[in-house]
Amino acid sequence: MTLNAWADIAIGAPLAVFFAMLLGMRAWPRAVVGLSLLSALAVALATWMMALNLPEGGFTSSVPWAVTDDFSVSFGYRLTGLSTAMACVVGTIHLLVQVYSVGYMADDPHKARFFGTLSLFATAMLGIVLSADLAQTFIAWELVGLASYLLIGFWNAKPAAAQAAKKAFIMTRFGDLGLFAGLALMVSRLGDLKIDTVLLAVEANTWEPGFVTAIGLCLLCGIAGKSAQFPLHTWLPDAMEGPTPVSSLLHSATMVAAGVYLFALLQPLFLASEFTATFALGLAVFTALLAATVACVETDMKRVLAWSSISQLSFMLMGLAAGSQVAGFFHLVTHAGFKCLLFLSAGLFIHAAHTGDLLAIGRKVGRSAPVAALGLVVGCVALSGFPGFAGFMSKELVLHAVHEQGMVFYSGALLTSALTAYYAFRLVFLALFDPERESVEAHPSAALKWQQGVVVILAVLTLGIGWTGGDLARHLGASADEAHIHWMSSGVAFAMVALVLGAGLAFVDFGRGGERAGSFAKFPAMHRFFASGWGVDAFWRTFSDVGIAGLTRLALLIDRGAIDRTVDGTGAATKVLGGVAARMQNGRVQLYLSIALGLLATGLLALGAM
Amino acid sequence: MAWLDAHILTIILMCPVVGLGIVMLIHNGKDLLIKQVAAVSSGLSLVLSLRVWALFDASTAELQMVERVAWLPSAGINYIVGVDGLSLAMVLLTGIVFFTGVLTMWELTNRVKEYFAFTMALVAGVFGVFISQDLFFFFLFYELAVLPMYLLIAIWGSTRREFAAMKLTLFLLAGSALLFPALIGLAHYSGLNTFDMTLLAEADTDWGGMGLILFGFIYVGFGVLAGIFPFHTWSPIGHVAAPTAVSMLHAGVLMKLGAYGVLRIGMIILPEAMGSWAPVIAVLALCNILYGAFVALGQTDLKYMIGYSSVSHMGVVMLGLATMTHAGISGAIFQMFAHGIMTALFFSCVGHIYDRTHTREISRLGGLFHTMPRASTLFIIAGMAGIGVPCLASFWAEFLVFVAAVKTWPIIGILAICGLVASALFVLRVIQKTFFGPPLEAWKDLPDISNGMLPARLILAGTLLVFGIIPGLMLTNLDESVRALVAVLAG
Repeated sequence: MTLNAWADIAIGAPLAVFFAMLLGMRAWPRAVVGLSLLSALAVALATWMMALNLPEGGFTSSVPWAVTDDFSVSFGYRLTGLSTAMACVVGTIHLLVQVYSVGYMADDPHKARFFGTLSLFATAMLGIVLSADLAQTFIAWELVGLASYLLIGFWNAKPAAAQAAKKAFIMTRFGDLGLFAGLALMVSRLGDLKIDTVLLAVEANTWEPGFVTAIGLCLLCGIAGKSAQFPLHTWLPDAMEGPTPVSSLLHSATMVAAGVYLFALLQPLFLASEFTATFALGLAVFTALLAATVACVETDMKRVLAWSSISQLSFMLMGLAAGSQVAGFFHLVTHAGFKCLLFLSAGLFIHAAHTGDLLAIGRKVGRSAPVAALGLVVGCVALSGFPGFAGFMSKELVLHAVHEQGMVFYSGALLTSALTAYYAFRLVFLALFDPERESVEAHPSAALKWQQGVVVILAVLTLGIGWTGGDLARHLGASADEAHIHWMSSGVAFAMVALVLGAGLAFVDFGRGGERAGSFAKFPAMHRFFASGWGVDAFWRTFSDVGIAGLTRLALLIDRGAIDRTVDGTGAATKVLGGVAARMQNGRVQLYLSIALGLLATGLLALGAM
Repeated sequence: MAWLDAHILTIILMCPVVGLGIVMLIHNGKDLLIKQVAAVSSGLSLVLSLRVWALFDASTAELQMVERVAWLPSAGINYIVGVDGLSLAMVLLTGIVFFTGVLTMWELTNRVKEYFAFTMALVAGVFGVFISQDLFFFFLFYELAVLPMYLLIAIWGSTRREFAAMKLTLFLLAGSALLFPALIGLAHYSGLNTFDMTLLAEADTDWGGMGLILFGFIYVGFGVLAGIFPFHTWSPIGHVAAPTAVSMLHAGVLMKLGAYGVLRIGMIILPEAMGSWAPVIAVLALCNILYGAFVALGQTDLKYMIGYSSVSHMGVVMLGLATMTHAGISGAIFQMFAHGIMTALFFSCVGHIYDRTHTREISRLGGLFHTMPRASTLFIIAGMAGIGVPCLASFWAEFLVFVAAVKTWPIIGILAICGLVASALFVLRVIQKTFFGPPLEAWKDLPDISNGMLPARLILAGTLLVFGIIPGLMLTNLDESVRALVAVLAG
């Protein structure tokens, strides 16, 4: 099989499942689930085959898709170390999430729709990853938006889910404006948007610096939308209204990772402008810090993980903006593993506790769900940056890269690391070490086996994935040294200090039972500020209620008050004029005579005056 | 077959005319027979427009399938029909909307005979406009298409139907009042004493200042029908009052007549004047896009919302034309087609919902996704097309137009892109309020779209998907004709 055929399978198989569902297979949910699993298996296989058989120098194919004289769009695959590695992550996580969903959605009457849409999601995501043309990337990017809209709003009878779905779509759309504008600006100079064309143009340094900066900032907008960076991040915590497998898929390997991937793909373009690179780095550090503080005070298990995703995405962007593709992308890979694990474990907890509230989970479930507890501990240890575990290895590389960019950024990143350790262990202590735990009977069910199996697999993966950095770096075409960690360096020492401080504070706050409020609650104003997400959500609400609603009212006012009134007024005026004219035609000879005489007199007077 | 292919355009035109004749002969009570005649006549015209599509030679910008009959040679009036890349898609669009419109009205019981008679008269006019290559016939068919709207809305309509019908008719007649002198002026000032559009376009006339004036008349006259800002208010109110299939024809096809008129007569015959007017057209188009979207956002009635979304989407067409580039004009024509299909789908779904719930108030609806999954899914597909989601036809149209606009006028182009968020806002808001949320008690047992009524909607949704996935279907046919037009515009 050629690489092209594998790529066709990766994109086509899940798309076929989606259309089968749309065109009436909803009536046979079991068949859709079966097909969907098969296609997920095929996708995973195809992605690994592409990565393993990747020839030196990569592989590119393209067929024209929409051609005009001014520019053209093509459909094709561009397989490189980066894209195949990303495809493997997507394919693998997608497969695991599908298997998990078999158990999770076992009793849902609409599971055919669920699996169909999940498959559409995979197609769209792989469409971004394998694309050879930025216009195709944009198309797939929008399809990811559509699929996430449908998945977050899967339980759309719940008003909160419907609202969250809309919010996710609109907020990412805001970013997409920038992305679209950036692409349009580029294509106005290039004629097509093939990634190779764009990278060549950047390399040749043909564009004036201002133009490069403008494009970079535009694209960064799109990335901030998809990858949930300040100020467009507010959709992501709300997106937890979707089914847990969706949260897991959205937050680990797909959707939010798409933005980071695009940054990695076009890294030379962003780095070509000093301003864009520094701006991106600053934005990432700020977002990381913001999100981490909110995660420290959030009380809903999935929302803690959501804020943690935002913060970790910022770490990836930090690495990339600081110039290290290996660091940023490696963090994407490790994060995909442990965050998926965390969400799927959270799904087990929530399933058992019937609530997402952390304290309630601690009280009702805790350690009585051993597989979930295992997943949570492994995931949190990896997240917190415990040496040797996945999160530590990649974050260390990121911190190393950021260190070279200046102390301000580095200290921000370190502080965030400490906070990460704090909220990760807070999660563990609150969920597993509640001293007043009620013992509740566990309800083992056959469906649960699927979910538990996946959690165990992911836990094993997470343990091993931190040591793949060297291989990954080689696959990306860099030297393995770039992924090498200098254990005996001040950087590692600082990271250890951050970890110990964060984890230690979490232990002091939550590890010994008793008071479960934590240190942050001792400063109520700050606590409120953090819990409100630094007021960003409120800002957008005001923007919507005042800005958008105001514009709407203004438009309505113009339409009804000015334009339509003029129109109807013209009609009315015509009627009045007609009425006057009609009244003059009343058949009375006297009136006609007096008008005639009057006109004659006026005429004579006028003549006399001359 | 050869004879048929040689006269295919006239035969398409005759489909609704003959159908009209037969319907008039049928006894009043035989509703089913009347509907069957209408279905056959519309189905036949759809099949024949597909045949035209298949016969079309995309490698030339020349008129094809031309028929020419001398009519009043002394006055320079001839019956000339033919298609090129610019009109091909419009013929197919009319065929599709006509056929699906007839199927959508299958459950009509009130004055069936007259309804279908007027519909067929209207469609005959529309087909006539899209294939005419003679100004006189163009105008004749144009008037024929516009007038039945008054009766269709005033008799079979709902909310404030007589007011709406009158407003619509007065508006369009005001447009015609501008067009009539303009068309005579074209024939007169060209010095050729002919109404043959090909001759007028090819002549080396120096129009000078007169060209600017004539173009203004043509732009405003046709633009009224295309819903250009600020002459758009007749359109939404007309939609609201009109019965389902009339809304489909109105937004799906009639509004396209306006844009097509600007393209076919204004841009082709008066290219220099188009160059001078383009900035005005672009700015007004931007108003359409943004302003239309915000007014749509403020609507509480489903049909008003869709009516204003049409105002916004027609702005994309005009913006594309105003770029005067290959990509922009191709995108504009693509948008005419895609928007026609999309609004037809919108209105056919809303029609179903209104017929069952007897309300279009968004605030009174909710949770319909669970009671009417088919109607909801189809509406959501139309909605997604409306906000430019890829793999649906309108995506390509908007993509081409916006990219071309950014290249020609960066500021206007980037502002127009902002319309994408505004349209997402109003479409998603309606989907959330109407279809999502807990199912309401009042609408719990309402029937979904039945199997028999499904095909019409599936044709529309399928068309959106096919052209969305394979945009080349549309673009290859446009290619040469648009290239020739761009060359003329560039002087």
